[in-house]
Amino acid sequence: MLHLRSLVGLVAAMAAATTLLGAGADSAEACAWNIGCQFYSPAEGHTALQFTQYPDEIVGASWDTYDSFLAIATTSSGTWKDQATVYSSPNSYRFFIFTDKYGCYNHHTGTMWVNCKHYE
Amino acid sequence: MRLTRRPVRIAIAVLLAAAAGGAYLSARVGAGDASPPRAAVPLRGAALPPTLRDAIARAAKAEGVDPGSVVEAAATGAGGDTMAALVGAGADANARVSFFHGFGMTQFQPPGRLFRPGAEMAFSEAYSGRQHEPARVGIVGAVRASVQRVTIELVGGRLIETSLVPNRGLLFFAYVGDTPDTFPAVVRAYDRSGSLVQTHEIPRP
Repeated sequence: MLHLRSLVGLVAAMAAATTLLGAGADSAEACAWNIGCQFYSPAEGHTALQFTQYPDEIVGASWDTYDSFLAIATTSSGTWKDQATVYSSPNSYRFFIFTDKYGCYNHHTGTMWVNCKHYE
Repeated sequence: MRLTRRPVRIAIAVLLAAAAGGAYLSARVGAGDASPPRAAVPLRGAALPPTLRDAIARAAKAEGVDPGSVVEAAATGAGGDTMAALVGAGADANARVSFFHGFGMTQFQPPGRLFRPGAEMAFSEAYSGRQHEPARVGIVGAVRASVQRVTIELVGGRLIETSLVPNRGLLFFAYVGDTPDTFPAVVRAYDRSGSLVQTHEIPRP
């Protein structure tokens, strides 16, 4: 009887640990991005300073709710320079221009979840 | 000098008519209109600044596409303002497509990811200029071979018939508007029977 109780307890503990690890892994993966991993309200965007002066800066994202996000390139004060729609999550856009900031923008009428990152 | 011989007068009339027609067509495909398609040309022969050609080749290589296989299709605009589809071959020798906007490009993708499930048309829009006040709006797109024509309705109400350029089993188009009236508003794709198969409204962020 003792062995049975121990076995049930062990299984329960393993199940709980698996759940916790699973949730942790999902969260880490979902937010292992370096620009605004969060819900984006309509007309909300998040940017980050470019890494270097190297001309290629890539903005990548995964998102839900809508079919696209807007990849944006702005000045340091946030003035828009060039933008492009990106479809089929997850996906990315490669900018060739020199500017200060790059990021993601919700150009839809409702809130959407966006995990946004930039790299080179 | 009097033209007394009838064949000469006819020939001159034909030439004048052709010149008038040419002038009309040139005006029609001017700024803010669908450019006549530049047939698919190898990237090394594309009329792009060398830095952009190098950047495209670099992107292709990084994304598993043979740079030597990349062609520029349906290009519109000139130099650094060019918009076009970029079509190359992946490691499996099948098509990979990127939409190029001059200032950047989408990732090279196979048709299976480029087109949303059930879609006949794929695209990417580009905007240059301040938010809500773009100076330039364009769209580069691809359609499946079942599509026969693609039209673009402009903000000002005019309807443009795009020229579709074939490559690797798909058809490509590009359009750029430089004034608010000539910005693209709605894109429509029609199949061979003339039926509307897809409509897309251009976002205005």
